[in-house]
Amino acid sequence: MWKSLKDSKTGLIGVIIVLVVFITAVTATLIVPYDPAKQDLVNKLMNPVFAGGTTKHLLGTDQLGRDILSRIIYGSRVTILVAFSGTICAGILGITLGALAGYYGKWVDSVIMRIVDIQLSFPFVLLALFVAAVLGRSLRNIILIAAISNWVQYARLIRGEILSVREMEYIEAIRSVGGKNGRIILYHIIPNVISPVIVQATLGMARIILMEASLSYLGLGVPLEIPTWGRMLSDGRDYMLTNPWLAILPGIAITVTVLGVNLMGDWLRDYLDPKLNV
Amino acid sequence: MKKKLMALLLVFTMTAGTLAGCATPGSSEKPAASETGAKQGEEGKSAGQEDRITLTYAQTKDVDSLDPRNATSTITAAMMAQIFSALVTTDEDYNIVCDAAESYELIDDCTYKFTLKKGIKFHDGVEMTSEDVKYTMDTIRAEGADYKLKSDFSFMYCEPIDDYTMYIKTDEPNASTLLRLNYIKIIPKHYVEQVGDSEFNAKPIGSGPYRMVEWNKDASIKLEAFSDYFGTKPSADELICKVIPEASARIAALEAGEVDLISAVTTSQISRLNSLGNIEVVSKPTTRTVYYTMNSFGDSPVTDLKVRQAINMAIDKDTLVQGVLDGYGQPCNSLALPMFEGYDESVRGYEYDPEAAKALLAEAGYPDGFEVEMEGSFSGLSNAADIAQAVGAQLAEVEIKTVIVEKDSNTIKDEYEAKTTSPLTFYSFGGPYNNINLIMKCVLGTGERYSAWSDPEYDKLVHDIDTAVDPAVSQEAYTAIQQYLVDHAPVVPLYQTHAIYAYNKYKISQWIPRADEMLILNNAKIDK
Amino acid sequence: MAKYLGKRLLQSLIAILGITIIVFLVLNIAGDPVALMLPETASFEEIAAMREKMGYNDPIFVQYFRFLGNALHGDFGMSYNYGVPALQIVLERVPATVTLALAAMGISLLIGIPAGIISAVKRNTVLDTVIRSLALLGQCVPAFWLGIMMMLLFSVKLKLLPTSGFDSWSALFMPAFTLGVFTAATITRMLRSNMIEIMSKEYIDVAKAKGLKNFAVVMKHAFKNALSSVLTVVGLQIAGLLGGSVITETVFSWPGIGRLLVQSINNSDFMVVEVIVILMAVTFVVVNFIVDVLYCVINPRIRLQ
Repeated sequence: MWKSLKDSKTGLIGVIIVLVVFITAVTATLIVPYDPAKQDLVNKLMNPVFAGGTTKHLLGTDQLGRDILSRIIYGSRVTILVAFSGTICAGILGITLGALAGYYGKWVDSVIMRIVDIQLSFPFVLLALFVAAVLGRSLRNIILIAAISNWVQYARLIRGEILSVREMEYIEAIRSVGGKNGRIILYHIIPNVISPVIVQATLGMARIILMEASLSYLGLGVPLEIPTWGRMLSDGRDYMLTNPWLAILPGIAITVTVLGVNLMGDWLRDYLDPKLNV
Repeated sequence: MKKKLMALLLVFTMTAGTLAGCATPGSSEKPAASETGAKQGEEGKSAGQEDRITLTYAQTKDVDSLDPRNATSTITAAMMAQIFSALVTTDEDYNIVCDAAESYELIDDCTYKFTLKKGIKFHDGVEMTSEDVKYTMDTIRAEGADYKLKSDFSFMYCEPIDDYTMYIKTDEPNASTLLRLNYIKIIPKHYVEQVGDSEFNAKPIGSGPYRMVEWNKDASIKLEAFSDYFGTKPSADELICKVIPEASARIAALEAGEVDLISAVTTSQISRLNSLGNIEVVSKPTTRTVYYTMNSFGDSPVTDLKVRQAINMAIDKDTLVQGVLDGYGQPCNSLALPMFEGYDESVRGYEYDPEAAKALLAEAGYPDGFEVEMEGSFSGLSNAADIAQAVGAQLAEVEIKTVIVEKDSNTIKDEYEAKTTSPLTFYSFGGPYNNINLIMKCVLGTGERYSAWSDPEYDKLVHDIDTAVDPAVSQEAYTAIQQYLVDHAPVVPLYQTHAIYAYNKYKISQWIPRADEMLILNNAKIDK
Repeated sequence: MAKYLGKRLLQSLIAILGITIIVFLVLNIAGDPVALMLPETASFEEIAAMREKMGYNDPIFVQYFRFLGNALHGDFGMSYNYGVPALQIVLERVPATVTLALAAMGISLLIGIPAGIISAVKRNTVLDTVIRSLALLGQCVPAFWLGIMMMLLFSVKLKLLPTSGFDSWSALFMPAFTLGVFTAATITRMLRSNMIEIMSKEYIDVAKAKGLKNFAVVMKHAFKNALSSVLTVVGLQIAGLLGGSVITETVFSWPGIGRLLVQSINNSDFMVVEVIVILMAVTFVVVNFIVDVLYCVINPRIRLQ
C-alpha cells in the first residue's frame, strides 16, 4: 500500500490533504488562535495578513470581528463529522437493503429496487432541501439527509455482488452444511465487496461535503452558531465588494478538501480494484 | 446509426439555443396596451421615445400580489402606492395628508366624513366615485372573504352619501382609522366585477401615478406614467422595478449602470459607495422596530419579572447599532417610536447596566445564570443574524447562555399563534400603518398574532388607546401603556431600523426617502 | 426490445407513483395546510369547518387518491403566498429553468466532448495533464462559490457581464457556465477514460493497419463507441442540473423554479413546493426513460443484460 501511494503523486497529495483536514478537525480546540465565537466589533472586517491585515488575525476577521482562521479550523469539524457519519449511515443503510434485495430476491428485491428508482429520481439537492424544509435545521438532520441521498450506490453494489456469487458452489456448500443467511452475507459476501464499497464511500464523502456546503449556503444547513464553511461563505456574499476574502477563503477550504478526498478516492480505486472503472 | 446519433446531439444543442432565445422575456412581446387604456398608449407614443425618462430600480424581492387587498409585504405595498391611490396617504415624515380625498372631518367617535376629489380617473378612463371606495372596503370586510388585509381592516366600512361624499364608519371608536385608510388602496368596482379577482391581480387598474405594463414574475415589473393622474405628474415616464435578491449583486448592478437606484444597502458597503463619486447613499429612520419578545406562557426563567428586567439591562443597544449596523439605526427603549403620535419621551426605558443585571439575576435565583433558547427568522432584515449573535454574546457577559435557533418566519408565526415561541424571540414590526396602537396590540395583546404575552390589565390599556379618538384625552392612555412596558418588561426593544438606499446622483436628485419604506420617487427630480 | 422497453416504462410509472406518495406523505407530516389557508383571525370553528370541507378528516389513503386524482387534472391546490393555482405559478417559471438547464447542458457538451477527445488522443502530454486537472477541479468546486467568484471577476472587477437579470444573452452566460461546470468535468473524464479503453482494443489497431488516417480512426470508431457513455452521463446529469439550478438560480437571481422552490420553502408555501418536487422528479424519470430508449437503439446489446 505504501509503495502504491509513493508511486502515485496525486494519491499522496490527496491522502495528505485528507489527513491534514482530519487532524485539524480533531485537534481544533487545541490549535485555534481564538475562540471562534469570540466577537470583537471594534476590529471587524479586517483583511488577511497577505492583503494588508495584521498578524494578530492571520486570515482577518468577519463582520462580527470573529477570527476567520479559527472559524475555518472549527468549520472543518462539521465538514468531517457530516462527511463521516453521513457516509457510515448511508453505507449501513445501503448495504443492509442491498443485501436483503440480492439475497432474498423475488418481491423483496422488486420492492427495494423500486425504492432505489424513486430515490434516484429525486435530484440530490431537491431531496436535501425537501427534508431540511420539513424536518428543520439541525446537525442530525443534515447527516440524515446525507445518508438517505447516498445509500443507493452501496445497495446496488452489494446487490450486484450477491447476485453474482449467490449461486456459486462454495456458498451452496456453506448453506448445505447449515450456514445461516446472515452469517453467509456477513462473512462470505461482504468481504468480497469491501474494496468497491471503500472507493464508493470516498467518492460519496466528497459529494456529502459539497451538499453540506450548499445547504448551509441556502440557509438550510446546520444551526447558526456552529461555524461551517458553507455558512461562512454565505455570510461573506454581502461583503464581496469590500471584503472578498470572507467568501474566497471558505470556498478554498471546501474545494481543497473535496479535491483531497477525490484524489484519495481515485488512488484507492486504482489500488484496490484496478479493473473497476467508475 | 452514427449519423443518427450525431444529428441527435446537434439537435439537442441547437434546441438549447433556440429555447434560450424564445424564453428570454426581453424579446417577448409587450401585452397590448389598448386593453388597459388606448388613450395612454397613443399619448405615450406621441411624446417620442427619445424624450422619455426611464427610471430603473432594484429591490430584494418580487411583489406577492398586485391586488392591494392582498398586499401585506412592504415591497408589495410600495408597488400598490405607484398603481393605486387611497383616500389619504402619509408624507415623508409619516404625517397624514389627503390623497384621493379632497377633505375629511370627524363627525363623531365612530364616523369620518370624506369628500373625494372630482375627476379622479382610473387607468381605463372611468371616474372614481364613493361606490368604488365602498366596494373596496366591502370586499375586504365581507363574510368569508380571505384577503390578507382582512384582519387589520375589517373594523371599518364605507357609507356613500353621493358620488363624491361618504361616511367612513368603524364598529367602535378607533384612533387608527385615518392611518389605516392610507393602506386601503381603492380598486375600480366596474373592472374587478367584470374580470374577476385573478385577472385583476394579473392586470391591475388603479388611479395612481403609474399604470402597469408588464409583470415578469420574480424578474421585473414595468410601469408607465398615467397621463390623467389627478396628482402631481411623476418625474419619470417609465418605471422599471427589478428583483435582485443578492446585496452584492444589487450594488454591482448600480455601479454598472444597469439600475439607477437600489434599496437595502448593507451598511459595510456605504463608505465604499460614497467614495465612487457618482453614487449617493441616503438613509431614513423607518416605522420598523426590532425587538425580542419574551414568552410568558412557558415555565422558562423569563416568566420572572426580575429576569426580564435583567435581560433588558444586559443588552447594550448602542454597541449593537454602532458596532454591527455602523450607526444606521436608532437604539430605542420602547416599542413606541418618537415619530408615533402619543409617544411620551418622559417614560424612560432600561439603560445598559450589566452589573445591575447580574444583581437582579442573583435576586431571581440565578446567580450562575442559565441557558435559554433564542429564535428568529433572519432572512428578511439586514444584519439580523449578526445582531442576534451579538446579543447572544452580550447576554453571555451576564452568564445567560443563549442557543440561537434560526427558523423561517411562517414557523415563528405559527408558534406565536400557539404561544410556543422560544423564551426569547427575535422579531421586527413595522410598515405603512404602524403606530403605537398597532404595534402594542399585535406584539403584546392577548391572543394576538405576534404576541407571547397575556395580561388583562394590558389589554385594557390597549383598548384605552384604541378608543381614545380625541387627542387631548388620549395622551394619558398612551403614556400609561408606555409605562406598562417599563414596569413589566415584556419585551426587549432593540432599535429602530434605517432604510438605506443608494442611487446614481447624476440621474436622481432632491429625493427624500419615506419613513414607511415605500419606495416612491414622485418628489424627486429625475434626469435623463 | 419491445419487452425491455415495456418493462422500463412500467418501472418509470411505478417510480412516478412512488414519488407522489412520498411527496404527499412528507407534506402531510409537515403541517396543517388549513391553518395556512385561512386568514390569521380565523376561529377554531372556521378552521374545523374548513378541514371538513377540504376533506382533511378522511382516512389518509382516501386523501391520497383524491390528491392524485386532482393532480392528474392539473389541480395541485392554491399557492398560499400568491393566491393563485400553484401549478400556474410554477409553469410561469419553467421556461427560465429549461433555458438555463439546456444552455448549461450545451456548454458542458461543447466543453466536455472536445476536451475529452483531446485528452484521450494526446494522452500523457502537458495538454492532457492540464485538461485532467481542470476537469478534476471542476468536480470539486462548489458551484455557488464558482458563481460568486465569476460575478466578482466578470461583473464587479471587469464589468463585462451583467450580475443578474434575465433579459440578454450575456446574462445567461455566467449562470449557464456555473451550472454546467460539473457536468462538463464529468463528461470530460468519462469520455477520456472510455476512449482510451476503446482505443486500446484490437479493432482500432486493425483500422489503423488498414491505413485510415489517425483522426478518422478516432472519430469513426473510438468516439462513436464512447458516445453511448456520454449519453448516459447526459441522462444522469439532468438530475444534477435540475438540482443544481436551485443553487445557481439563487446566486444569479434567475427567475426559474429553483429559486421559486427555495422561496416557497422559506414561505412555507407547500403547494408550490409539492408541484416543483413532483415536476422535477417526473422530468428526471421521463428523461432517463428516453435516454434508455435511445441507448437501446444505439446499442442493441443492452437487451441482453
